[in-house]
Amino acid sequence: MPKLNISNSIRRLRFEHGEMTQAALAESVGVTRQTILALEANRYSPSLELAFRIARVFDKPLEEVFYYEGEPDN
Amino acid sequence: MNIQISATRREALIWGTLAVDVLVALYYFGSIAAQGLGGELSEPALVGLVVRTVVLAIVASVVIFGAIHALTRAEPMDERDYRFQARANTVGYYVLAVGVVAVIGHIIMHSVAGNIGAPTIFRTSPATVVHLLIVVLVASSVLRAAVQLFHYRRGG
Repeated sequence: MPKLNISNSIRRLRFEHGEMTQAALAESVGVTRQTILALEANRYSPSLELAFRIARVFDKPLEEVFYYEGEPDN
Repeated sequence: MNIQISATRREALIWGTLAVDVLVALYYFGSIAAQGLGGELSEPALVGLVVRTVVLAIVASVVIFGAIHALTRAEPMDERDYRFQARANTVGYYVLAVGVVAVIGHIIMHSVAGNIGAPTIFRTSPATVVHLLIVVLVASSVLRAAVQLFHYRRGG
């Protein structure tokens, strides 16, 4: 299964926010629980809008929720 | 009643589409095979078969999709669903386009073959064109479903 270069801290942030469930996060950002599951497993790269919505739920800047792990551009 | 099943409604609906496609293909081509592979269907018989196949597809869709809606929880589509659907539609579109062009090519070859006495493989008939178009439609739909199921099963 291919892993994406974009990783995230959603799982950790959920637990830091009162052990928020995947279903609760999914409902607050308007996606299915399966999408949150795929995001946490780094199998799905979200749209920019969804990424911003997730960051807003955790009250964090985007770069604290999502980060790029690919090779740096030269 | 709300029975939990392992697949989401989206996935179950795609499996349902696949089931209807397979059922329609088995009925249509099974009926043709039962009447003899070499024999040519008369026009009224072909029209009757197509009408019966369409009715079967409608009834099967009502039963299968009705059961899925009754047994699964409603879940609106999100961006991931739309992305998988778009990928599947792209594959389905190419299969449909290539298939239709191939059928057109076959019809043109029939016209040319008639004039130059080419092998009978290039000869066609309205019934053959209908069969080929149904093969193309079913193949396109099956591939659309398969691509979506592949993405859902893979997870991303």
